[in-house]
Amino acid sequence: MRLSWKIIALLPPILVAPLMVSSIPARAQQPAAPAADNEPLDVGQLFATTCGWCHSDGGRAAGKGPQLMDSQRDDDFMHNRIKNGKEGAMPAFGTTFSDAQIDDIVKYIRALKPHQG
Amino acid sequence: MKTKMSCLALPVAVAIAVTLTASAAVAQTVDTARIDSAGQNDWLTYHGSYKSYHYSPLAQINPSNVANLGVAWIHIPGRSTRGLQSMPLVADGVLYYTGSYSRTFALNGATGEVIWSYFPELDEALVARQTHSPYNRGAAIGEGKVYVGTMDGRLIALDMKTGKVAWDTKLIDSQKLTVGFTGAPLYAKGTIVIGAQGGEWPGRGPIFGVDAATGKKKWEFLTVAGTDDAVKTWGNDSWRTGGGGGWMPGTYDSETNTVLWGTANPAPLYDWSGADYKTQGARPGDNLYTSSVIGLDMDTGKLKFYHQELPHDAWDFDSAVGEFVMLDRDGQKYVVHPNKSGYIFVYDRNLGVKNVWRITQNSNFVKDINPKTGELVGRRDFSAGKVSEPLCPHISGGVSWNSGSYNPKTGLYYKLGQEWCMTLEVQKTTPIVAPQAQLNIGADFKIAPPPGGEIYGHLDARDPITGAKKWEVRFPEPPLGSVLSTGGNLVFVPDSRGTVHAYDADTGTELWNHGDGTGHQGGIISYAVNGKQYIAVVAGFGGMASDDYAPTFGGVYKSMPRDDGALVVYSLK
Repeated sequence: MRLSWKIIALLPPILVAPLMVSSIPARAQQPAAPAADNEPLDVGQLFATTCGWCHSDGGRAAGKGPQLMDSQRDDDFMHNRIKNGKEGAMPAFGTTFSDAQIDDIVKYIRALKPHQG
Repeated sequence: MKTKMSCLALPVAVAIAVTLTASAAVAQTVDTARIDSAGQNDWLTYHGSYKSYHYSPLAQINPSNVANLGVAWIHIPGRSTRGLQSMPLVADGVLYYTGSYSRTFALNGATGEVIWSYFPELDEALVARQTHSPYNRGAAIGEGKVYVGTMDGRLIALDMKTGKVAWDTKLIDSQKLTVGFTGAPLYAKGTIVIGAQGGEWPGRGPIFGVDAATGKKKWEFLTVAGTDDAVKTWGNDSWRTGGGGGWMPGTYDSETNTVLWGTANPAPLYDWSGADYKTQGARPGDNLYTSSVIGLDMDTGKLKFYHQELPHDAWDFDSAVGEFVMLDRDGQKYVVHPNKSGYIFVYDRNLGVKNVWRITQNSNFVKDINPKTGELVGRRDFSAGKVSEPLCPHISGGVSWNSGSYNPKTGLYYKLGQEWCMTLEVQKTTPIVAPQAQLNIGADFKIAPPPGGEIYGHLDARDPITGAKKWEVRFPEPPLGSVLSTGGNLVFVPDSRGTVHAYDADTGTELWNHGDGTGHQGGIISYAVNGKQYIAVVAGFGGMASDDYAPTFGGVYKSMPRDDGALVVYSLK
């Protein structure tokens, strides 16, 4: 999967730019390497770090945001909502993820199943 | 950081001045001494005064006549995305308050007439990327200006009389860090103190001191690894993205020239370290100065003393609650600070632990906290995977970030507690080593009732030092707003369903209530203009805690707007 120009343009300043001014002596920078062009987005991690606050139980249950598992919304709706957000309810991720990565997120949501046991 | 003077800032802002007489009261300078003494008729800083009592000595409204309390006037700020969460301020008959997107108003306190309004032009594309946004929790006043923070990392000073921009200072690179300011600033001794958001947002959570006259940054304290010693408490360089922050205003101790502030949690919220958190997991070590209370020199921002309430906080029960209730009892000076976990810490003025008590019934993240030392006893440190026993309290906390009230006449501390839990599956995530446009939570979770019971909230009347409970009132859903007590022997609680309640401060007997039409999750104050007492409360629901109410409780919350709000002001009919 290729990162779009947006991702390529955004990641380096975010990941490499020096952090805020500090009185602490500079240490060896340990920036995360920008994701390789063909590196798939780990959507499970994304839910654990970001999405899961609102989409409870990893998207399996309603929380602050709707339950995503078994959603009746179509793929285009989900894609656009992730990309553009909804004021006061859902952040916009269009400058963070490429369209291809957002498609990966939608695929992950479609594959969500209840926890076993 | 750069400072823009008013001539540069004006083109990007909308300030509307209305030619009204400001107030019948004679305007006087608001300075440190005046805030310290907490005048009878005013509400000069977020917590009422530096004592942080959220108490008004006004007694015109009391148990004998509270039944005659009715709406005096209402103000609609507009665009109240995620409700109204701020604490109004009043000086010399003029009420100042903020709404979402840092909309700022000066209103005639007796009539609600608009004196001026100011709508800052914000980086809307940035705001659209934010999760804890676009609400604003209040302003500060002092030296003839009103100070308000913005979601895009600025602190703005407005002329108190006209609303015109005096200065506009960019403090945070919010494009890089995503976060900005939602909390109210604190004014004291010529300095404005404001803390950044942080917590689950990877960054280092700065707190700033800014010159009130010029807007120039005086100092900056990093709540994540802000000293060389503190760096050693973050293994694997995890301090680079440690979270922290100080998103609610603390207070000022004029006797020691100290800023007292509570700090937010480290990131990720949930660690997979297990019991070996000193050496294992996402952020090995104690993670200073997150989930701590800190004392900073007002002039330099240097750390004077601190107490870390939750070393290596693995539960998101941070110390960002802004209350520092300053008490004198039997010749001893105390500071009472609620931790989000529901444990209430009692300190001396140098933040040495004097006692710890708990307001919640349902709590199992630790077995206890040693009341003599503050040490956590029997802590639950999770490994990756499903957590067998639900974690209590829920991530929204045993107490809200909103404030309780101490009434010096009754000697009681009126504080809301929240009884709820959560199921949790901790995820071992890839370390995030630089700020980015994502959160860092580290788990999947879901709200759950306490074992063997239902979710509920309660207003407690307690001794603030010992925690001894005198009475309790229960609510079917936890109220999320602040509490007000008055010299009229009343306690006011704005609840989540949208009703404001008044209770007898001695007994907890409900004496009056009134519906505001939508839920509350912000401030409530009392003030007087021309000898008449008013109660002002912000109504408007939405945000990280209240967004759980519709799916959890249904009922009135299903149709409750999360993009609306009003300032409602009551007086005797």
